[in-house]
Amino acid sequence: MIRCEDLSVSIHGEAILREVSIDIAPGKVTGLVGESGSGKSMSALAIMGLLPRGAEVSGRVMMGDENLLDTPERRMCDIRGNRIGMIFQEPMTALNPVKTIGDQVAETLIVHGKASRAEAREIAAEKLTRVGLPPDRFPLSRFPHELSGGQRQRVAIATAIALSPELLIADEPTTALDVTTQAQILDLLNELVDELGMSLLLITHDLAVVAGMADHVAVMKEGEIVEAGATEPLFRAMEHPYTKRLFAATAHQPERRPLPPEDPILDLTDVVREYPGPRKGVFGRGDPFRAVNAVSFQLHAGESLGLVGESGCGKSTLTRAILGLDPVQGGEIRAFDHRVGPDFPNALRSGIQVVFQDPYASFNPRWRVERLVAEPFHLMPAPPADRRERVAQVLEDVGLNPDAMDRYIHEFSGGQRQRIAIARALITRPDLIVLDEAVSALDVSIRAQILDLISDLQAEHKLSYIFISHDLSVVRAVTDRVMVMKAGEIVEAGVTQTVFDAPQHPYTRQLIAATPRIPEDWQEAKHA
Amino acid sequence: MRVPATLIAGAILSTFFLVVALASFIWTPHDVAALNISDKLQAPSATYWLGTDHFGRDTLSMLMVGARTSLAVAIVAVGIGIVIGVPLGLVAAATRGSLLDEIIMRGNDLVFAFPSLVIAILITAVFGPSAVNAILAIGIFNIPVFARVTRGGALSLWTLDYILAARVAGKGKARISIEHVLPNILNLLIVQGTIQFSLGILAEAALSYIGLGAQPPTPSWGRMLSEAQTMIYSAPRLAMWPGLAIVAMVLGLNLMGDGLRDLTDPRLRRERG
Repeated sequence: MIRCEDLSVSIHGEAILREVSIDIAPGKVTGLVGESGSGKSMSALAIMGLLPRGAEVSGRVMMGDENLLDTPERRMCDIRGNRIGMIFQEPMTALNPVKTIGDQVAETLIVHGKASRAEAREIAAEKLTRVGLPPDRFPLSRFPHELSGGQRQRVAIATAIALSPELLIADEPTTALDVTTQAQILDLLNELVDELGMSLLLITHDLAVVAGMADHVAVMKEGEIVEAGATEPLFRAMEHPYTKRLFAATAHQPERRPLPPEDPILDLTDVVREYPGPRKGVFGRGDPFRAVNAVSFQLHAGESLGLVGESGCGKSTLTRAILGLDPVQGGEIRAFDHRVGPDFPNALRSGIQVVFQDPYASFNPRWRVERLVAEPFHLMPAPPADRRERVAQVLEDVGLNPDAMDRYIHEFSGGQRQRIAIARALITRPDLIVLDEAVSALDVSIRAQILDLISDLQAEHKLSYIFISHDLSVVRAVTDRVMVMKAGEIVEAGVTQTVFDAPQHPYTRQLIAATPRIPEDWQEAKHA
Repeated sequence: MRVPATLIAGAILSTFFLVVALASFIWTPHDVAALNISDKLQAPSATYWLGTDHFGRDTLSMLMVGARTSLAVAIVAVGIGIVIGVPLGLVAAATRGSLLDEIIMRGNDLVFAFPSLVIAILITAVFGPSAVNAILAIGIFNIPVFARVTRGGALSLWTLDYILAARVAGKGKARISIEHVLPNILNLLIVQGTIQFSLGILAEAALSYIGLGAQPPTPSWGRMLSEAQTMIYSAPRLAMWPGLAIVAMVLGLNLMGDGLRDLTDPRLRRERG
């Protein structure tokens, strides 16, 4: 269908792709796997002829007997959206917020002159029905903000398949979605491939997604394809060391030394957190929204507790309450024999620290690392005299060179930033660190390193963790006990192994079933 | 990183006027207060580079001192806007959704709702025409502009994790506003500042034109324009020079503001690659 031959791209002299050759077979799913910066997305853009300014391309992208790299822009406009469709990672920004979903799907048809306005709307309704948004429940006049992330991704898919393209390029189509939604979107893509006989180029960082979806896989690293072939044999053999490493990192299980259970350091009883309802009229308000409902649990010293749930389930609200940033409307949070809340004494606050998800938003870009890491010293009556030494010490603890403290945050990679975030959390020698999706934004190999670091630090400093994540495999690897949260309530709690092996609550079962995984028997060779 | 051409052009123009204004403190070709009726309405010559007006005053000297008046009024007016508006915006953002936020922002809306130049005329008419009253009148209308820009920029920062991290570190809202929020919206304020600055110069010229700004004998571009108006047919250059000066200075500041925005906006920076 499409064949890339020795495709090379460089931007301002820097090589981004090196002699990439991929065959995208008609009616099949081709998976393109790699970590961030490996050139996956750039390959897709090269095929579409949408490379950024300043890019130099060589090689060939053959569609039939036409080289897309030589095709004039006018002709490419006919091809894009018509013969090649594309969907993106972020459903929140891929749709135009001021156009209705019907208009967005119809637009492709009208732009390509394939249908009149009335016909286009009819086809749009048909396509939206096909992707699971029937007009009787989701009228064409809906706007994107009225839909959930998964539903928006369905609209994006409807737009991409409106003209039944021969090739659909999906760039991380499910990365921003919850696991159960991800499973539905992947199923939908699979059905569409079968039904329309189109090819799908599935770009992802997740080996498990590819294992479940693709007929062929290509593994990319630093702009090169290091290994390619039919999915199952490739997974069974894993000839290239990079593929092996990637796989090992995905299934990485940090070594953990179980600590004897001790006294509870954090105790939640029937915690309720409500948000004021939407305004009604000038003074009135609607019913308050209950984000966390009657949550009770205990956390013991040295324990790792997982908290799993999909977006909007109240995980982050609960975190903020535990950190004492927001007041609770019912029940009680106690830590170190004190009630946690906005008036929690500073001296005790230093015992609970936090690491956030986004390594890019976690730091003030105008401060040097020393000042960033030392910020929690504000909790002490006076900053310690040996401030620089202590910053150097924690930077060393998290595996960074103490020289880092005189540099600005933009000089560090995502993984390094997350280490700095952990250093900041460690500096007050806390008893509890809340890890709020702390590894979710990281590449698998970096994630494995950070997970190792987290469990080493736990043994060294006798830390307790609350590990919040939507990623079940990570939670399974690093926690002693786990709680599953849904719509503000904890629906299941127990020892991690037990919960995962024998889930009791239907929602837990649904979550576990939706998690993509590499079939067990493909992996046998590696464990031997 | 490439410096936008607009920024260079704007900076050159603005710096030129700044230098001229500063130079007028120590040297002008002629005394601006000295009336020399025998030399009235002279064409440009070696003695009077840009000619003289109907009182025989040197136009170049008056332009130089006029630049000083314009800059002084605009600087103080923008200063009033920043000193009062920015803290208001920071407080509103830190207490977003509260009654205090509502009071501050609705107060701003109220000031915005008045036609600024008309109110400035009212203020100077009631309290008497003078440079100080002109500054106050222009300054008051800068307050809501800066309050809004500050609040808008600050609100998006308040959702970021590093603000949350600072709260976990026990820092209060005032401290976070000063340490984390203010430095990161500085670029917005600088850009808005240059734009308000040019608007201030225009407003000062307008007030002086109708005789409500700086009073004689202090030269001012706006009054030079209005005095030249009666002689527009006999000596058009008398209206042309201050007019050109106003245009060039406002243009320079606007170019500089645009250029600074391009330079500091990370989204635009990425596009330029």
